[in-house]
Amino acid sequence: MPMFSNDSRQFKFDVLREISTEAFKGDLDEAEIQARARNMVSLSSPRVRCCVYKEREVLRQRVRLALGEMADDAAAYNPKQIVQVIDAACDGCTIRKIRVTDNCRKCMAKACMAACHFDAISMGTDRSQIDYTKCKECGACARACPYNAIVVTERPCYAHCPVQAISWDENNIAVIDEEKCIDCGQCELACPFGACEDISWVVPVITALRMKTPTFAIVAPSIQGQFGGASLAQIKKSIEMLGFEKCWEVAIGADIVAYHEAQELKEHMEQGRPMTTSCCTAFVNMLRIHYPQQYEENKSSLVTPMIALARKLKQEYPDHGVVFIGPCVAKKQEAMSEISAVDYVLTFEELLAMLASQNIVPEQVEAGADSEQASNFGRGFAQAGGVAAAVQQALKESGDGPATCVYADGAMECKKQLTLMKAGRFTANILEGMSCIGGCIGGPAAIEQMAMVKGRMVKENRENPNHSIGESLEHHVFKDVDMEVTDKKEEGEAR
Amino acid sequence: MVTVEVCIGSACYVRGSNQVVNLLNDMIREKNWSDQVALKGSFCMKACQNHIGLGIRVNGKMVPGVTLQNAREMVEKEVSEALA
Repeated sequence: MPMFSNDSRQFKFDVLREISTEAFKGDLDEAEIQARARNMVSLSSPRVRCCVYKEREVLRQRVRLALGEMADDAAAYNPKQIVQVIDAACDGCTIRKIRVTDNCRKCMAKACMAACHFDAISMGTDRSQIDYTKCKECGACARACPYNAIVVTERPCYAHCPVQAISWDENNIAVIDEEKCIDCGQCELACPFGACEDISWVVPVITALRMKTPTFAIVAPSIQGQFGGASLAQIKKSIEMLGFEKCWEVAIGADIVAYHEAQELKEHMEQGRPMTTSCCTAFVNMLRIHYPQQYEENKSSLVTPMIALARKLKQEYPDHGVVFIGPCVAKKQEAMSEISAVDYVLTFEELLAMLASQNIVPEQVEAGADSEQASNFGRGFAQAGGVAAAVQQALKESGDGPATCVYADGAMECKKQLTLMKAGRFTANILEGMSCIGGCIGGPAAIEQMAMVKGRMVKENRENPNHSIGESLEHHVFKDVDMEVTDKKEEGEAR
Repeated sequence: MVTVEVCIGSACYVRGSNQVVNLLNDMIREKNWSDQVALKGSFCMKACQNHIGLGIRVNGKMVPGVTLQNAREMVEKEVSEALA
């Protein structure tokens, strides 16, 4: 039964499930895997591309990514670049932004010609024509046409990339500029052909589990409600059934981050410097790469909740591995591009593939009471506005006054607010930046619809006994855990 | 009992530690060592940072200079010595 309404995502999932099934069996050999996976596409399977050979090449590159290799055979392994282009899958679409369609009536008014400031439009034999050597892609002609005959379309990957990291080569295949890319995964969400995809480490994680290596799973707060009607306790139990020793909520790390961020905010407020939140990796990458001055001056010095909790666990259990599971692609870059307390990062999609390969259905799993709960404020990090709300709560709990917050919903809005900050025109105390619209629950590897997840979270969190951040931190002690990014400049340096 | 630990952290995985696990499993089977040798997984043992090849420990001691190509030979030697 298909689990995703989108065929290209379903295909990605099917590949991950196949690979997971093989990896759990063990003795994985790449050539064998490729040979077996090849059966997923055959002459009799429904054609989705021009021919079976193209489909097989797309499949082959997908299998490479699922095995933790670069999609491009010739590229050197680079864990800094998580999002990659499967060149066989790229359709090389819509290079020309402005086009005249059949709707053109070759009218007398010729509003398009009048609207064009660059003399790029002329009247052809049956419709108006654009001279692309002159066209500046301003769209004035499209707005002027009374028949909506001129359309403005952009490549979805390019249109959704917040940092203009996407261009195309001489064959119109998308190319990602690694110097600019923030690994936010927006192109993955946008591409209708599933040509932008993230590299996966399901195989080594499954190997670790199969060899009974002691490993913890730490799950992003946005995991609540992602698996049908399964409760958080059921989801955690399902993950433990895969072989993880224990599953922890990263929301615990979020509680401690909110606490420290509130303390740091007080310093920022005294000095009249706005502070940006540090939990969203793609947002931090945007700061680091595209707004270096704000990165130095305004970014909170704290690690992300993922790293905070992983450091605590590594301190208490040095021989254990830590695997983060989230809806996020950028988290893979954060944990994998340098040596960190997190050994591997998986996405919800990959987790679902692993569960499906072992026939574990979270909704049907029996789970006991959950004794290791975070506060609802830590859990709120999953949603738009939740981070600033948690920092406000932490301020309140320490007896300090409220701060003013601006919430930037989505990468485009983050960019806008950072530009204001750069110009000295950002007036609030906190900028909460979330690269995905709606927060982590809108992440590129989230499974369920956002509205559905929100409703389930509210319902489940009513039962949570931890009413404040303080209560959660009484239970989860972060003694001597380093909460600062070790060296800001080194962040993001290669492993 | 001799314990052989293989690092399956990402830096070693990319250099083929997953295949090393397969090779060593084959070795244990062929040598009939299954009662004497325990093959275990481990996370980063800093072999990558110290540039000493793949992370492999035999009875808790690092074996430097292991690659995918020489893994079986080197581990076989270490294990034979430990068993002797």
